[in-house]
Amino acid sequence: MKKITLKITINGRKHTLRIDPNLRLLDLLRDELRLTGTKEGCGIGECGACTVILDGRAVNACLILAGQCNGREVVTIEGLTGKDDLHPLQQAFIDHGAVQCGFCTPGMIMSAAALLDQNPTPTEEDIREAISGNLCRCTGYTQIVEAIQAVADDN
Amino acid sequence: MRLAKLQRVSYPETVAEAIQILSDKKRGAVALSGGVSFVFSPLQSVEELVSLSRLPLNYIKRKNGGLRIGATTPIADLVTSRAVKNYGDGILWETAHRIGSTLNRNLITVGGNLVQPFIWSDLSTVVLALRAGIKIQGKKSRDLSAEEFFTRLPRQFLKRGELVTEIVFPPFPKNYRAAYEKFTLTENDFALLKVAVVLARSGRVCRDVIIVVGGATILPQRVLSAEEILRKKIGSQILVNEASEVAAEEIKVSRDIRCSEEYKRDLCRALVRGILERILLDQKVPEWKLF
Repeated sequence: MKKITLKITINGRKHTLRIDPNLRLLDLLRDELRLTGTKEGCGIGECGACTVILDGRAVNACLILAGQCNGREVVTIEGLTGKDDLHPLQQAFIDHGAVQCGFCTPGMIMSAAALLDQNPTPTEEDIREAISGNLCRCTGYTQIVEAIQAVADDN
Repeated sequence: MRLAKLQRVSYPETVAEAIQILSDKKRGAVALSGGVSFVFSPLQSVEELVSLSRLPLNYIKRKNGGLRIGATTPIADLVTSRAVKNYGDGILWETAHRIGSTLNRNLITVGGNLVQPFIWSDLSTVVLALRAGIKIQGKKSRDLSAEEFFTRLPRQFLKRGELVTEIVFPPFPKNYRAAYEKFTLTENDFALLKVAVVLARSGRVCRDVIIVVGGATILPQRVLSAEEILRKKIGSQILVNEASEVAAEEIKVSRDIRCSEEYKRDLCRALVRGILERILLDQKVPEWKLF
C-alpha cells in the first residue's frame, strides 16, 4: 500500500509521518507512536475508551482515519500535562476513588478535560452529558462525576 | 484489510476544488465528512478520500426566520446553538441533542447524517417534517426539497462530483407547533423508531400538518393518510386516536433484527398519539404514558 504524508501535532509536538492511508488515528497513536494511554475498547465509537481531544473537541480515535487529521492538533492522556505532575483531573480521580479497573479512565479524563476547557463551571448534568459516550463497566459513575465536579468547583 | 485500495487523501479548501476531484472518474474518489459511517462500513473500492473538513461549510446562519446550516457543521454545534434551540419549537435542537453521545456528536456532521443514512439516523425525520431544502453543488447546482431528497437513498441519485453543501430550513410561522419523539432502549442507544410532527393551528382547528416516521425504513416516511384525517378538522381525542391508528397501519416497516414489525407499529401508534395529544390537544403527556 502506498504511504501518505501526514503532518500532525500530537501533545504539542509536530510530527511529519509516512503512514498507510487506511490507518485509524487510534492505531497511529498506539502502534506507531506508542502512546498506549489511549485504549481500544469496542472499536465502533460506543465505549469511549479511545477518547482524545482533536482541535479542542473530545472524539473517538477509533472512528477517525489518521489521514483526516492532517494539519490538526491532537491531545492524548499523555499530553494532558507537560510535566511529571498529575493533571488536576487525574489527581481528583485518585482522591475520589474514581478509578477501579482503570480501562475507561483515560477516556473519561479526556472527555472531562474537553468539557472543562469549554465550560470551566459545568453543572452535574453538563458533566454527565460530557461523559455520556464513555462507558465504565465497574459502574463507578458517581465517583467519576464527583471527581470532575471537584475540579470544576476549584475553577 | 479495510480500504485496501486506498492510496490518497486530499484536502480541498474550496467546494469547487472538491467537486473537481470528485468528478474525475479516474481517481475513484469519495467524499469524507465526519467519517463515522465510513469507518463502520468502508467502500472497499475507494482509491482516494476527499476530506471535506477544510471546506467553508461549517456554519449556522439565521435568515428571515429560517436557518441555513452548512453540510460539514458537526451535530454538536447544533446543540450549542441558540438559533437552533429557538427554531421550530426546538425540535431540530431536540433531535440533535439526542443523537448518540457527546463524542459521536463532535464527529457526525449534518450533511453526513443525511447523505449516509442508516435505519437509526435521526436528522432526516426532522429535516423532512420541517420542509427543509437541500442544496447540492456539482458541475451544475440544484436545490431539492427534503421530500424529493428522501425519495431514494442519496447515494443512488447524487451524481459523481455532487456534494450536499447546505440545508435550508424555512421560516417557522408563529401559529405552527412541532414535536419530536424517539424510542430507544437506553438513552444513548440507536432509536427503534422516531416521529416528528409539525402542524399549524387556529384555536383547536388543525390547518396544516406533516407527520413523519423515521426508523421504520432507512428513509423517513410521511404518513399522508393520517395527515388527511387531521387537516382542517377540529382536534379531538377521537381524531387523534384515528390518525395514530392509521399511521401505524400505513407505514412501511423494513426487517429489523432488533424488534418485530408489530412492535414498531405499536411504537408508531403510541408516538404519533402522544405527540398529537401534546401539540394539538394541549395535553400534558408524560413520557412514560406514551407507552
